[in-house]
Amino acid sequence: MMKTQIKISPLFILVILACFSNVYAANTSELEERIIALEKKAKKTEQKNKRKFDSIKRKMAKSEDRLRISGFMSAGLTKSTDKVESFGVTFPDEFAFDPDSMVGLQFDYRISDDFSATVQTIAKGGDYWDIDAEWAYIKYQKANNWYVRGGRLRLPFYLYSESLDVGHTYPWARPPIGLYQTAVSTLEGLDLFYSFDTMGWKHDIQTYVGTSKDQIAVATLTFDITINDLYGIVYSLSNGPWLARLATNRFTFKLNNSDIDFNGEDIIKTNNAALKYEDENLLISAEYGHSYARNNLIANSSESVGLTTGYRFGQWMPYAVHVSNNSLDEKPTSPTPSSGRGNTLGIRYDINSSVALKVQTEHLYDFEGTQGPFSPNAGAEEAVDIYTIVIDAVF
Amino acid sequence: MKRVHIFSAVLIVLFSSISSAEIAIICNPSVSITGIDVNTASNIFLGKSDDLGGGIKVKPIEHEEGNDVKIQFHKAVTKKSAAQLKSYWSRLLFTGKGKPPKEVFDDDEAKELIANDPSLISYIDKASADDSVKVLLTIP
Repeated sequence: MMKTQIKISPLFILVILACFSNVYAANTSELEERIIALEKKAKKTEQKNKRKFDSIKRKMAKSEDRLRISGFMSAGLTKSTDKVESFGVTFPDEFAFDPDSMVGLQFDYRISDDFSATVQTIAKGGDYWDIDAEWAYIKYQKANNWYVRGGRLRLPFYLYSESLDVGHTYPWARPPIGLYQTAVSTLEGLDLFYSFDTMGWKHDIQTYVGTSKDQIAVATLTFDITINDLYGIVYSLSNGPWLARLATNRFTFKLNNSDIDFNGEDIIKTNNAALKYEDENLLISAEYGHSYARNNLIANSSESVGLTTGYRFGQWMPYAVHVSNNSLDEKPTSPTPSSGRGNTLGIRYDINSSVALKVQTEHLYDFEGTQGPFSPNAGAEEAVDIYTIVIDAVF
Repeated sequence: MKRVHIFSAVLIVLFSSISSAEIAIICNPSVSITGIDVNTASNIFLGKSDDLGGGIKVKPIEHEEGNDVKIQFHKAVTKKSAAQLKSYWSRLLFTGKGKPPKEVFDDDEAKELIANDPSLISYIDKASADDSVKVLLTIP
Protein backbone atom coordinates (compact mmCIF):
# COMPACT_ATOMS: atom_id res chain seq x y z
CA MET A 1 0.00 0.00 0.00
CA MET A 2 2.72 2.42 1.09
CA LYS A 3 4.96 1.43 -1.78
CA THR A 4 2.43 2.20 -4.50
CA GLN A 5 1.84 5.63 -3.03
CA ILE A 6 5.53 6.35 -2.97
CA LYS A 7 5.94 5.39 -6.59
CA ILE A 8 2.99 7.38 -7.81
CA SER A 9 3.33 10.63 -5.94
CA PRO A 10 6.49 12.08 -7.60
CA LEU A 11 5.14 11.20 -11.03
CA PHE A 12 1.85 12.80 -10.22
CA ILE A 13 3.54 15.98 -9.07
CA LEU A 14 5.71 16.04 -12.16
CA VAL A 15 2.58 16.01 -14.31
CA ILE A 16 1.02 18.79 -12.28
CA LEU A 17 4.18 20.85 -12.40
CA ALA A 18 4.46 20.38 -16.15
CA CYS A 19 0.94 21.72 -16.58
CA PHE A 20 1.68 24.87 -14.65
CA SER A 21 5.24 25.30 -15.84
CA ASN A 22 4.58 28.75 -17.42
CA VAL A 23 3.47 30.22 -14.13
CA TYR A 24 6.50 28.74 -12.43
CA ALA A 25 8.95 30.03 -15.00
CA ALA A 26 7.68 33.59 -14.72
CA ASN A 27 8.08 33.73 -10.97
CA THR A 28 11.10 31.56 -10.45
CA SER A 29 13.85 34.14 -10.16
CA GLU A 30 11.79 36.35 -7.87
CA LEU A 31 10.85 33.38 -5.74
CA GLU A 32 14.41 32.16 -5.53
CA GLU A 33 15.60 35.56 -4.29
CA ARG A 34 12.92 35.57 -1.65
CA ILE A 35 13.77 32.07 -0.58
CA ILE A 36 17.46 32.92 -0.29
CA ALA A 37 16.63 36.01 1.80
CA LEU A 38 14.33 33.99 4.03
CA GLU A 39 16.90 31.26 4.44
CA LYS A 40 19.51 33.82 5.52
CA LYS A 41 17.12 35.26 8.04
CA ALA A 42 16.19 31.84 9.36
CA LYS A 43 19.83 30.86 9.72
CA LYS A 44 20.60 34.04 11.67
CA THR A 45 17.70 33.46 14.04
CA GLU A 46 18.70 29.84 14.39
CA GLN A 47 22.27 30.77 15.32
CA LYS A 48 21.04 33.36 17.78
CA ASN A 49 18.70 30.83 19.37
CA LYS A 50 21.42 28.23 19.51
CA ARG A 51 23.76 30.62 21.34
CA LYS A 52 20.99 31.47 23.79
CA PHE A 53 20.13 27.82 24.22
CA ASP A 54 23.76 26.83 24.77
CA SER A 55 24.21 29.45 27.42
CA ILE A 56 21.06 28.41 29.28
CA LYS A 57 22.06 24.79 28.94
CA ARG A 58 25.52 25.41 30.40
CA LYS A 59 23.95 27.15 33.37
CA MET A 60 21.44 24.37 33.88
CA ALA A 61 23.90 21.53 33.38
CA LYS A 62 25.52 22.18 36.73
CA SER A 63 22.35 21.93 38.81
CA GLU A 64 20.65 19.39 36.53
CA ASP A 65 23.59 17.09 36.94
CA ARG A 66 23.09 17.01 40.70
CA LEU A 67 19.34 16.94 41.12
CA ARG A 68 16.91 15.03 38.99
CA ILE A 69 13.17 15.20 39.59
CA SER A 70 10.92 12.71 37.89
CA GLY A 71 7.46 11.38 38.49
CA PHE A 72 4.57 9.19 37.50
CA MET A 73 0.86 9.22 37.90
CA SER A 74 -2.22 7.15 37.29
CA ALA A 75 -5.73 8.51 37.00
CA GLY A 76 -8.31 5.76 36.94
CA LEU A 77 -11.98 5.04 37.10
CA THR A 78 -12.87 1.74 38.73
CA LYS A 79 -16.13 -0.08 39.36
CA SER A 80 -16.77 -3.46 40.91
CA THR A 81 -19.93 -5.55 40.70
CA ASP A 82 -19.64 -6.04 44.48
CA LYS A 83 -17.99 -3.81 47.04
CA VAL A 84 -14.74 -5.64 47.89
CA GLU A 85 -11.50 -4.85 49.66
CA SER A 86 -8.01 -6.15 48.98
CA PHE A 87 -5.09 -5.18 51.21
CA GLY A 88 -6.56 -1.87 52.31
CA VAL A 89 -7.84 -0.82 48.87
CA THR A 90 -11.62 -0.72 48.53
CA PHE A 91 -13.22 -1.35 45.15
CA PRO A 92 -16.68 0.22 45.35
CA ASP A 93 -19.75 -0.92 43.41
CA GLU A 94 -19.99 2.34 41.49
CA PHE A 95 -17.39 4.14 39.38
CA ALA A 96 -14.82 5.71 41.68
CA PHE A 97 -11.61 7.63 41.13
CA ASP A 98 -9.74 6.45 44.23
CA PRO A 99 -8.74 2.76 43.88
CA ASP A 100 -6.46 3.10 40.86
CA SER A 101 -5.31 6.70 41.12
CA MET A 102 -1.95 7.76 42.47
CA VAL A 103 0.88 10.20 42.01
CA GLY A 104 4.57 9.67 42.69
CA LEU A 105 7.54 12.00 42.73
CA GLN A 106 11.17 10.98 42.78
CA PHE A 107 14.13 13.10 43.74
CA ASP A 108 17.60 11.84 42.87
CA TYR A 109 20.45 13.86 44.28
CA ARG A 110 24.06 13.19 43.39
CA ILE A 111 26.13 13.76 46.53
CA SER A 112 29.50 12.89 44.98
CA ASP A 113 30.79 10.75 42.12
CA ASP A 114 29.99 7.54 44.02
CA PHE A 115 27.21 8.54 46.41
CA SER A 116 23.65 9.51 45.61
CA ALA A 117 20.45 9.94 47.59
CA THR A 118 16.94 9.09 46.35
CA VAL A 119 13.53 9.74 47.80
CA GLN A 120 10.35 8.54 46.13
CA THR A 121 7.06 9.65 47.62
CA ILE A 122 3.71 8.24 46.58
CA ALA A 123 0.19 9.37 47.38
CA LYS A 124 -2.50 6.82 46.55
CA GLY A 125 -6.21 7.38 46.18
CA GLY A 126 -6.78 3.93 47.70
CA ASP A 127 -4.82 5.07 50.73
CA TYR A 128 -6.74 8.35 51.27
CA TRP A 129 -3.96 10.25 49.44
CA ASP A 130 -1.60 9.91 52.39
CA ILE A 131 1.93 10.63 51.25
CA ASP A 132 4.33 7.75 51.87
CA ALA A 133 8.02 7.44 51.15
CA GLU A 134 8.20 4.11 49.30
CA TRP A 135 11.89 4.54 48.62
CA ALA A 136 14.39 6.61 50.63
CA TYR A 137 17.97 5.49 50.36
CA ILE A 138 21.61 6.38 49.97
CA LYS A 139 23.31 4.56 47.12
CA TYR A 140 26.98 3.86 46.75
CA GLN A 141 28.02 2.93 43.22
CA LYS A 142 31.66 2.76 42.25
CA ALA A 143 31.30 0.79 39.01
CA ASN A 144 28.56 0.14 36.49
CA ASN A 145 28.07 -3.47 37.62
CA TRP A 146 27.54 -3.19 41.37
CA TYR A 147 26.04 -0.96 44.04
CA VAL A 148 24.98 -0.94 47.67
CA ARG A 149 21.90 0.85 48.98
CA GLY A 150 20.86 1.56 52.53
CA GLY A 151 17.54 2.94 53.74
CA ARG A 152 13.97 2.20 52.76
CA LEU A 153 13.61 -0.04 49.71
CA ARG A 154 10.83 -1.89 47.92
CA LEU A 155 10.64 -5.64 48.55
CA PRO A 156 11.47 -7.47 45.31
CA PHE A 157 9.01 -10.36 45.76
CA TYR A 158 7.78 -10.67 42.16
CA LEU A 159 8.86 -9.69 38.66
CA TYR A 160 7.17 -6.27 38.75
CA SER A 161 7.07 -5.79 42.56
CA GLU A 162 9.52 -2.93 42.67
CA SER A 163 7.69 -0.82 40.10
CA LEU A 164 4.13 -1.83 41.02
CA ASP A 165 3.03 1.77 41.35
CA VAL A 166 4.41 2.86 37.99
CA GLY A 167 1.59 1.76 35.69
CA HIS A 168 3.50 2.77 32.58
CA THR A 169 6.00 -0.06 33.16
CA TYR A 170 3.49 -2.92 32.79
CA PRO A 171 0.63 -3.72 30.43
CA TRP A 172 -2.17 -4.09 33.00
CA ALA A 173 -4.44 -1.35 34.30
CA ARG A 174 -3.63 -2.72 37.75
CA PRO A 175 -1.35 -5.54 38.97
CA PRO A 176 -3.49 -8.71 38.82
CA ILE A 177 -5.46 -9.25 42.05
CA GLY A 178 -4.45 -12.46 43.79
CA LEU A 179 -0.91 -12.37 42.49
CA TYR A 180 0.77 -9.10 43.40
CA GLN A 181 -0.91 -7.89 46.60
CA THR A 182 1.22 -8.31 49.70
CA ALA A 183 0.80 -7.20 53.30
CA VAL A 184 4.09 -5.31 53.20
CA SER A 185 5.88 -3.78 50.24
CA THR A 186 8.94 -2.08 51.71
CA LEU A 187 11.88 -2.93 53.92
CA GLU A 188 14.30 -0.87 55.97
CA GLY A 189 17.75 -2.25 55.44
CA LEU A 190 20.44 -2.83 52.87
CA ASP A 191 20.65 -4.29 49.43
CA LEU A 192 23.60 -5.25 47.29
CA PHE A 193 23.40 -5.52 43.51
CA TYR A 194 25.97 -7.21 41.32
CA SER A 195 25.86 -8.07 37.62
CA PHE A 196 28.13 -9.87 35.18
CA ASP A 197 28.07 -11.18 31.60
CA THR A 198 28.75 -14.58 30.15
CA MET A 199 28.58 -15.03 26.37
CA GLY A 200 25.95 -12.36 25.83
CA TRP A 201 23.80 -13.39 28.81
CA LYS A 202 23.45 -10.88 31.62
CA HIS A 203 23.28 -12.12 35.20
CA ASP A 204 21.93 -9.85 37.94
CA ILE A 205 22.12 -10.75 41.61
CA GLN A 206 20.35 -8.71 44.26
CA THR A 207 20.52 -9.60 47.94
CA TYR A 208 18.84 -7.76 50.77
CA VAL A 209 18.47 -7.81 54.53
CA GLY A 210 16.28 -5.74 56.81
CA THR A 211 13.12 -5.26 58.82
CA SER A 212 9.72 -3.83 58.06
CA LYS A 213 6.69 -2.37 59.83
CA ASP A 214 3.20 -1.76 58.55
CA GLN A 215 -0.44 -1.97 59.50
CA ILE A 216 -3.26 -4.01 58.10
CA ALA A 217 -6.97 -3.53 58.59
CA VAL A 218 -8.98 -6.69 59.04
CA ALA A 219 -12.67 -5.88 59.29
CA THR A 220 -12.92 -3.18 61.99
CA LEU A 221 -9.59 -3.97 63.61
CA THR A 222 -6.18 -2.62 62.74
CA PHE A 223 -3.22 -4.91 63.29
CA ASP A 224 0.42 -3.89 63.54
CA ILE A 225 2.67 -5.92 61.31
CA THR A 226 6.28 -6.36 62.36
CA ILE A 227 8.72 -8.12 60.06
CA ASN A 228 12.13 -9.08 61.39
CA ASP A 229 15.09 -11.14 60.25
CA LEU A 230 14.13 -10.49 56.67
CA TYR A 231 16.58 -11.55 54.01
CA GLY A 232 16.41 -12.66 50.44
CA ILE A 233 18.12 -13.05 47.11
CA VAL A 234 16.98 -12.42 43.54
CA TYR A 235 18.76 -13.80 40.49
CA SER A 236 17.87 -12.63 36.98
CA LEU A 237 19.20 -13.90 33.70
CA SER A 238 18.50 -11.91 30.55
CA ASN A 239 19.39 -11.85 26.89
CA GLY A 240 17.62 -9.79 24.24
CA PRO A 241 13.88 -10.43 24.66
CA TRP A 242 14.32 -13.16 27.31
CA LEU A 243 14.29 -12.75 31.07
CA ALA A 244 14.28 -15.46 33.71
CA ARG A 245 14.05 -14.61 37.39
CA LEU A 246 14.32 -16.60 40.61
CA ALA A 247 13.69 -15.10 44.02
CA THR A 248 13.63 -16.46 47.54
CA ASN A 249 13.29 -14.88 50.96
CA ARG A 250 12.39 -15.58 54.60
CA PHE A 251 11.24 -13.45 57.52
CA THR A 252 9.52 -13.58 60.89
CA PHE A 253 6.03 -12.17 60.77
CA LYS A 254 4.27 -10.70 63.82
CA LEU A 255 0.72 -9.46 64.13
CA ASN A 256 -0.36 -7.41 67.13
CA ASN A 257 -3.48 -5.68 68.29
CA SER A 258 -3.34 -4.27 71.83
CA ASP A 259 -7.12 -3.60 71.98
CA ILE A 260 -7.97 -7.29 71.84
CA ASP A 261 -4.62 -8.35 73.27
CA PHE A 262 -3.71 -10.34 70.18
CA ASN A 263 -0.13 -11.42 69.48
CA GLY A 264 0.82 -13.87 66.78
CA GLU A 265 4.11 -14.87 65.23
CA ASP A 266 5.15 -17.02 62.30
CA ILE A 267 8.10 -17.67 60.04
CA ILE A 268 7.40 -17.22 56.35
CA LYS A 269 9.45 -18.43 53.41
CA THR A 270 8.67 -17.41 49.86
CA ASN A 271 9.97 -18.66 46.52
CA ASN A 272 9.21 -17.16 43.15
CA ALA A 273 10.07 -18.00 39.57
CA ALA A 274 9.29 -15.94 36.50
CA LEU A 275 9.92 -16.18 32.79
CA LYS A 276 9.31 -13.34 30.39
CA TYR A 277 9.63 -12.92 26.65
CA GLU A 278 9.14 -9.45 25.21
CA ASP A 279 10.04 -8.37 21.70
CA GLU A 280 8.75 -5.57 19.46
CA ASN A 281 5.28 -7.11 19.35
CA LEU A 282 4.84 -10.12 21.58
CA LEU A 283 4.78 -10.20 25.38
CA ILE A 284 4.50 -13.41 27.36
CA SER A 285 5.19 -13.64 31.06
CA ALA A 286 4.63 -16.45 33.51
CA GLU A 287 5.10 -16.26 37.26
CA TYR A 288 4.91 -18.79 40.01
CA GLY A 289 4.95 -17.95 43.70
CA HIS A 290 5.03 -20.22 46.72
CA SER A 291 4.67 -18.99 50.29
CA TYR A 292 5.18 -21.28 53.27
CA ALA A 293 4.02 -20.39 56.78
CA ARG A 294 5.66 -22.62 59.37
CA ASN A 295 3.21 -22.31 62.27
CA ASN A 296 0.15 -21.77 60.12
CA LEU A 297 -1.50 -19.64 62.81
CA ILE A 298 -1.63 -16.10 61.48
CA ALA A 299 -0.71 -16.82 57.90
CA ASN A 300 -1.38 -19.67 55.49
CA SER A 301 0.85 -21.45 53.04
CA SER A 302 -0.22 -20.74 49.51
CA GLU A 303 0.83 -20.85 45.91
CA SER A 304 -0.03 -18.60 43.01
CA VAL A 305 0.40 -18.67 39.25
CA GLY A 306 0.07 -15.76 36.86
CA LEU A 307 0.18 -15.75 33.07
CA THR A 308 0.13 -12.63 30.94
CA THR A 309 0.18 -12.40 27.19
CA GLY A 310 -0.13 -9.40 24.95
CA TYR A 311 0.52 -8.43 21.36
CA ARG A 312 1.41 -4.98 20.09
CA PHE A 313 -0.23 -3.60 16.96
CA GLY A 314 1.55 -0.24 16.74
CA GLN A 315 0.25 1.81 19.64
CA TRP A 316 -2.39 -0.77 20.60
CA MET A 317 -1.73 -3.77 22.78
CA PRO A 318 -4.54 -6.13 23.73
CA TYR A 319 -3.63 -8.40 26.65
CA ALA A 320 -5.02 -11.29 28.63
CA VAL A 321 -4.13 -12.48 32.12
CA HIS A 322 -4.92 -15.60 34.10
CA VAL A 323 -4.21 -15.83 37.82
CA SER A 324 -4.76 -18.76 40.12
CA ASN A 325 -4.01 -18.96 43.82
CA ASN A 326 -4.57 -21.75 46.26
CA SER A 327 -4.36 -22.12 49.98
CA LEU A 328 -2.15 -25.11 50.68
CA ASP A 329 -2.97 -25.87 54.32
CA GLU A 330 -5.32 -28.73 54.99
CA LYS A 331 -6.79 -27.00 58.02
CA PRO A 332 -6.49 -23.32 57.28
CA THR A 333 -6.70 -21.04 60.29
CA SER A 334 -6.56 -17.29 60.78
CA PRO A 335 -6.74 -15.14 58.77
CA THR A 336 -9.21 -17.04 56.66
CA PRO A 337 -7.59 -18.70 53.65
CA SER A 338 -7.55 -17.29 50.18
CA SER A 339 -8.16 -19.28 47.03
CA GLY A 340 -9.41 -18.07 43.74
CA ARG A 341 -8.92 -17.55 40.09
CA GLY A 342 -8.94 -14.44 37.94
CA ASN A 343 -9.20 -13.71 34.24
CA THR A 344 -8.42 -10.30 32.86
CA LEU A 345 -8.92 -8.92 29.37
CA GLY A 346 -7.74 -5.47 28.46
CA ILE A 347 -6.15 -3.18 25.95
CA ARG A 348 -3.35 -0.68 26.31
CA TYR A 349 -3.12 2.29 23.97
CA ASP A 350 0.05 4.39 23.95
CA ILE A 351 -1.26 7.92 23.41
CA ASN A 352 2.37 9.02 23.15
CA SER A 353 5.61 7.62 24.52
CA SER A 354 4.90 8.89 28.06
CA VAL A 355 1.15 8.46 28.38
CA ALA A 356 -0.83 5.23 28.09
CA LEU A 357 -4.54 4.55 28.31
CA LYS A 358 -5.74 1.16 29.53
CA VAL A 359 -9.18 -0.36 29.64
CA GLN A 360 -9.68 -3.72 31.29
CA THR A 361 -12.15 -6.06 32.85
CA GLU A 362 -11.04 -8.43 35.60
CA HIS A 363 -13.20 -11.41 36.46
CA LEU A 364 -12.48 -13.04 39.86
CA TYR A 365 -14.15 -16.36 40.59
CA ASP A 366 -13.92 -19.86 42.04
CA PHE A 367 -13.22 -18.86 45.65
CA GLU A 368 -13.87 -22.41 46.88
CA GLY A 369 -15.75 -21.16 49.91
CA THR A 370 -12.88 -18.91 50.99
CA GLN A 371 -12.68 -15.12 51.12
CA GLY A 372 -11.05 -15.19 47.68
CA PRO A 373 -8.32 -12.61 47.12
CA PHE A 374 -10.19 -10.15 49.33
CA SER A 375 -10.12 -9.14 52.99
CA PRO A 376 -12.24 -11.16 55.41
CA ASN A 377 -15.80 -9.91 55.85
CA ALA A 378 -15.28 -7.51 52.96
CA GLY A 379 -15.10 -10.11 50.25
CA ALA A 380 -17.64 -11.31 47.77
CA GLU A 381 -19.69 -14.48 47.96
CA GLU A 382 -19.17 -15.90 44.50
CA ALA A 383 -17.65 -13.98 41.63
CA VAL A 384 -16.71 -10.35 41.13
CA ASP A 385 -16.02 -8.28 38.03
CA ILE A 386 -13.89 -5.18 38.28
CA TYR A 387 -13.93 -2.68 35.38
CA THR A 388 -11.12 -0.17 35.05
CA ILE A 389 -10.14 2.71 32.78
CA VAL A 390 -6.82 4.27 33.67
CA ILE A 391 -4.35 6.75 32.24
CA ASP A 392 -0.72 6.15 33.23
CA ALA A 393 1.90 8.80 32.70
CA VAL A 394 5.59 9.21 33.46
CA PHE A 395 7.36 12.54 33.48
CA MET B 1 16.99 25.14 -17.28
CA LYS B 2 15.52 26.67 -14.16
CA ARG B 3 12.42 24.63 -14.64
CA VAL B 4 14.53 21.48 -14.66
CA HIS B 5 16.24 22.57 -11.44
CA ILE B 6 12.95 23.03 -9.70
CA PHE B 7 11.69 19.70 -10.95
CA SER B 8 14.74 17.92 -9.67
CA ALA B 9 14.57 19.84 -6.39
CA VAL B 10 10.99 18.71 -5.92
CA LEU B 11 11.99 15.15 -6.73
CA ILE B 12 14.91 15.20 -4.31
CA VAL B 13 12.75 16.56 -1.51
CA LEU B 14 10.12 13.93 -2.19
CA PHE B 15 12.53 11.04 -2.34
CA SER B 16 14.64 12.10 0.63
CA SER B 17 11.58 12.26 2.85
CA ILE B 18 10.62 8.77 1.73
CA SER B 19 13.89 6.88 1.97
CA SER B 20 15.16 6.87 5.54
CA ALA B 21 18.70 8.01 6.19
CA GLU B 22 21.49 5.76 7.39
CA ILE B 23 22.50 6.00 11.04
CA ALA B 24 26.11 6.02 12.18
CA ILE B 25 27.17 4.95 15.68
CA ILE B 26 30.08 7.19 16.56
CA CYS B 27 32.86 7.51 19.10
CA ASN B 28 35.96 9.59 19.63
CA PRO B 29 38.65 9.04 16.91
CA SER B 30 41.17 8.16 19.63
CA VAL B 31 39.24 5.02 20.65
CA SER B 32 41.27 2.00 19.53
CA ILE B 33 38.31 -0.14 18.46
CA THR B 34 37.31 -0.06 14.78
CA GLY B 35 33.79 -1.44 14.92
CA ILE B 36 31.02 -2.99 17.05
CA ASP B 37 28.03 -5.23 16.41
CA VAL B 38 24.35 -4.40 16.91
CA ASN B 39 24.11 -6.48 20.10
CA THR B 40 26.93 -4.61 21.80
CA ALA B 41 25.37 -1.30 20.75
CA SER B 42 21.96 -2.38 22.08
CA ASN B 43 23.42 -3.37 25.46
CA ILE B 44 25.29 -0.09 25.79
CA PHE B 45 22.33 2.10 24.83
CA LEU B 46 20.04 0.20 27.23
CA GLY B 47 22.55 0.61 30.05
CA LYS B 48 23.03 -3.17 30.34
CA SER B 49 26.74 -2.91 29.67
CA ASP B 50 29.39 -0.23 29.47
CA ASP B 51 31.95 -2.40 27.68
CA LEU B 52 32.69 -1.46 24.10
CA GLY B 53 34.95 -4.50 23.76
CA GLY B 54 38.53 -5.02 24.88
CA GLY B 55 37.71 -3.49 28.26
CA ILE B 56 37.02 -0.02 26.87
CA LYS B 57 34.33 1.62 29.03
CA VAL B 58 31.87 4.02 27.43
CA LYS B 59 28.75 5.98 28.37
CA PRO B 60 25.94 6.42 25.84
CA ILE B 61 24.65 9.80 24.74
CA GLU B 62 21.04 9.80 23.59
CA HIS B 63 18.98 12.08 21.39
CA GLU B 64 15.93 13.97 22.57
CA GLU B 65 12.54 12.40 22.23
CA GLY B 66 10.68 12.77 18.96
CA ASN B 67 13.93 12.99 17.02
CA ASP B 68 13.72 10.89 13.81
CA VAL B 69 17.28 9.63 14.26
CA LYS B 70 16.35 8.32 17.70
CA ILE B 71 13.22 6.53 16.50
CA GLN B 72 15.09 4.90 13.62
CA PHE B 73 18.08 3.95 15.79
CA HIS B 74 15.98 2.20 18.41
CA LYS B 75 13.81 0.45 15.87
CA ALA B 76 16.93 -1.11 14.36
CA VAL B 77 19.21 -1.54 17.39
CA THR B 78 17.29 -1.97 20.66
CA LYS B 79 14.07 -3.03 18.85
CA LYS B 80 12.00 -0.75 21.06
CA SER B 81 9.35 1.83 20.20
CA ALA B 82 9.45 5.23 21.91
CA ALA B 83 6.80 4.06 24.42
CA GLN B 84 8.60 0.76 25.11
CA LEU B 85 11.85 2.64 25.64
CA LYS B 86 10.12 4.99 28.08
CA SER B 87 8.67 2.03 30.00
CA TYR B 88 12.08 0.38 30.08
CA TRP B 89 13.86 3.40 31.53
CA SER B 90 10.99 4.26 33.88
CA ARG B 91 11.28 0.82 35.39
CA LEU B 92 15.00 1.26 36.02
CA LEU B 93 14.68 4.87 37.17
CA PHE B 94 11.81 4.34 39.62
CA THR B 95 13.44 1.24 41.14
CA GLY B 96 16.80 2.98 41.49
CA LYS B 97 18.53 0.47 39.23
CA GLY B 98 19.64 2.89 36.55
CA LYS B 99 19.22 6.28 34.97
CA PRO B 100 18.49 7.10 31.33
CA PRO B 101 21.47 8.50 29.40
CA LYS B 102 22.05 12.18 28.88
CA GLU B 103 20.33 13.59 25.82
CA VAL B 104 21.57 15.90 23.11
CA PHE B 105 19.59 18.36 21.04
CA ASP B 106 20.94 17.43 17.59
CA ASP B 107 23.71 15.70 15.62
CA ASP B 108 26.04 18.70 15.99
CA GLU B 109 25.80 18.59 19.75
CA ALA B 110 26.41 14.83 19.72
CA LYS B 111 29.50 15.27 17.52
CA GLU B 112 30.81 18.07 19.72
CA LEU B 113 30.55 15.92 22.85
CA ILE B 114 32.04 12.84 21.18
CA ALA B 115 34.90 14.81 19.62
CA ASN B 116 35.90 16.07 23.05
CA ASP B 117 35.42 12.97 25.18
CA PRO B 118 36.73 9.46 24.40
CA SER B 119 34.51 7.93 27.12
CA LEU B 120 31.29 8.64 25.22
CA ILE B 121 29.39 6.90 22.43
CA SER B 122 26.46 8.23 20.42
CA TYR B 123 24.75 8.01 17.04
CA ILE B 124 23.92 10.48 14.29
CA ASP B 125 22.56 10.67 10.77
CA LYS B 126 25.34 9.17 8.60
CA ALA B 127 25.30 12.31 6.45
CA SER B 128 26.37 14.40 9.48
CA ALA B 129 29.48 12.26 10.16
CA ASP B 130 32.87 13.95 9.60
CA ASP B 131 36.53 13.69 10.65
CA SER B 132 35.83 14.80 14.22
CA VAL B 133 34.31 11.42 15.02
CA LYS B 134 34.89 7.73 14.24
CA VAL B 135 32.07 5.66 12.79
CA LEU B 136 31.84 2.29 14.59
CA LEU B 137 28.80 0.90 12.84
CA THR B 138 26.49 2.02 10.03
CA ILE B 139 22.86 1.01 10.28
CA PRO B 140 20.93 1.05 6.99
